[in-house]
Amino acid sequence: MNILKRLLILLSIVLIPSFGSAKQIELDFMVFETPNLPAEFWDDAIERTVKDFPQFKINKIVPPNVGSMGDYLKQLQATDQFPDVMMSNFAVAEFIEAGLLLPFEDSDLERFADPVGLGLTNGRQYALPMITVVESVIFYNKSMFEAAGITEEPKTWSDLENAASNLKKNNVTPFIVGGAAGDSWAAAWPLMDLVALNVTGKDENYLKDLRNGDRNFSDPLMEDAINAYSSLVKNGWTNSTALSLNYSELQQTFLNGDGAMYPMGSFFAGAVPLDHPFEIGVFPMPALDGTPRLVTYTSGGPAVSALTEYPEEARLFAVEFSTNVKTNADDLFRDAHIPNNKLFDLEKDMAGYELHPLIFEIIEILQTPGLQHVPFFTFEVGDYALLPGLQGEVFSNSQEILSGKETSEIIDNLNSKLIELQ
Amino acid sequence: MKINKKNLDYFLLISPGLILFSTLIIFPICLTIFYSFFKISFLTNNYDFIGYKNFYKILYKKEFFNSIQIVLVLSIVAVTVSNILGIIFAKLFNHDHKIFLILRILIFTPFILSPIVIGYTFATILTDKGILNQFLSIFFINLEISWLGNPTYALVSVSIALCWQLIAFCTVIYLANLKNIPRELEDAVEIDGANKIQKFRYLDWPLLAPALTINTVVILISTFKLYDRVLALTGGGPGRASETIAMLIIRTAFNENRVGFASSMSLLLLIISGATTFIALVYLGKREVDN
Repeated sequence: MNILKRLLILLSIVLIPSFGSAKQIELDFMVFETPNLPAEFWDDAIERTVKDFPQFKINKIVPPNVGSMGDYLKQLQATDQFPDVMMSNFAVAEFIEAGLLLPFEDSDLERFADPVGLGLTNGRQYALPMITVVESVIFYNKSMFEAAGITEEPKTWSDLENAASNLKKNNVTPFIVGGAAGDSWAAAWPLMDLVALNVTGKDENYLKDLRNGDRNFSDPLMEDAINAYSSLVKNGWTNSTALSLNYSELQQTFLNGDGAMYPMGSFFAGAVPLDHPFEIGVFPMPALDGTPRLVTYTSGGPAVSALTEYPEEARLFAVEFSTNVKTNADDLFRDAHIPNNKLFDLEKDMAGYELHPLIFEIIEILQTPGLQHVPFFTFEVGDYALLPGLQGEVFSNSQEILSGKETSEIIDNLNSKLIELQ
Repeated sequence: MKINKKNLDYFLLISPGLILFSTLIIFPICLTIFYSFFKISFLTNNYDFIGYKNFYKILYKKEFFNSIQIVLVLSIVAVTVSNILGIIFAKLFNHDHKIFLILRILIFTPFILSPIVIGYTFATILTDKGILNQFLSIFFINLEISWLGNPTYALVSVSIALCWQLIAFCTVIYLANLKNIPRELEDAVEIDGANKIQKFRYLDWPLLAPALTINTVVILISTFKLYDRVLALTGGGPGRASETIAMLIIRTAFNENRVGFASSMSLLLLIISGATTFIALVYLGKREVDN
């Protein structure tokens, strides 16, 4: 073989692969892992998207715990490691205000049944409305209800109190609540529902005024909402273990039958095994004034960093990831996240899955006519968003409520923090 | 100073350490001082000069004084318990038999564990249905204490986890010090007819002064910057019942986006811990000289 031939072969070895392959786009993608959505779920979902779009190379990033996702993102931003794409399972408003997120184009939102979801900021959507979670539901142990002579699901707040009182008389812990250490968000869950149902759902200007400094937490509606949570504790209707349980232990406590009712988001339905030893039912948390309201959260999909090197590609990945029907189906099966994808067909796409009946009950609650849908408190966006830092204060004060602090002290704490942050 | 070859050699020899120390210690301290006069958010990268306002605001921050109180309580408990138990274990294990060598290794094990591991381990032990409450129930002691969920006991739990690791460190330092006590002094004390308590009071205790200084200073520094163990154990809760200053600083900087304010608190923490350590060093150092 002469030298020229050898050179030609060498050149072809070096050049042909580079002509043949497309440019690899490497994206850092932050997800969150929970008992219902473990690493395997995310790996499969990413792999599915990458299979259709092989130009992507995705580096998965996971925060230390689901409740600290926003804080972790801030730390990453401070060290120039802000991910390109991130699941928006945190209060996105402050990131939008800081100009760290890219708005989606109208064409990106065409595939979503409800393109607005949680809300828009200056008319733009910054986090894809991938799923709907019904936040204000209470799961209950049917046999404990029966044993206590409760024949109907509570429809009003006083029905709920009567049910709790009867359960207590029957030596049953009426409510399983709590959240320790990094899971203070779980301790805040009932309060976030109560505030959304009875404050922000009733007075639509409250959050705007709070943000502008025209009002504070010393508001009769807010006091009533905090009192309602506090009364559950003061009446001895909550589990004494509340502040020593992390989120998975909290979930397990209810599943073990240690209490009759569990106020949590609809995603809990994904954690109930089909062959669970006792039957579990679900009903919407009643508002204090009896008005039919439901706290919902339609968002949670990927958001795209404004700092990414590949904005177009990152948006494409975000849209494809959140509208992959197989991923939607897996998400619904595992975490009862109701897909907000126009292309998703419950009957057809869930054919291979055996869904827990609770998931159908939740979908039924969501579709109940005449219900006023209210966004989840502390996750609002735009003019309705809380000041940065207030969400954490709501979380830690919820733990204070569970440890028996008076409503006046909680309101003082929240007001002091509000003044400090303004 | 005259620059000659000898001085240049010295300088070259210390320069790697000097560069590392300046980059990792001096520069961050200077940066913290600089930040503390600004209103900064890492999210927006805005820097607004506000002078002393951050320091002024600290005076009205209840949470800061709550955290100071928590850290002071933990410091007092950790210094007292770790030193007392450290001396007791050191005296118990100060023998040459092989079994004591194994015991010495075992007692030091907690110190080489990561604080996060210790936090999570104790979180497992101290939950309501955790190992401790279940162990107690075997002996029909149903205390039903929520070690992590009750605000008062949460601080007790943090103290236990903290002391568990620090006792290991103290024991090793005291053991090393005990080994250095001259044999002739011990013989002299025995010939004088001193009993064990007198031997400890008049011989060991004065000669253990250097170890006491080292242990106290290390404990004070560790407690003032306590973060990881508490984060894993209680997350600073319930509410703010076990939130240390370091946790408050991190929360202020990264949760509330107030980096300048957090820096001013860091600076105060540096001054407080520096002053406390200095006082401890001077007081205990004087005791060493007196002895």
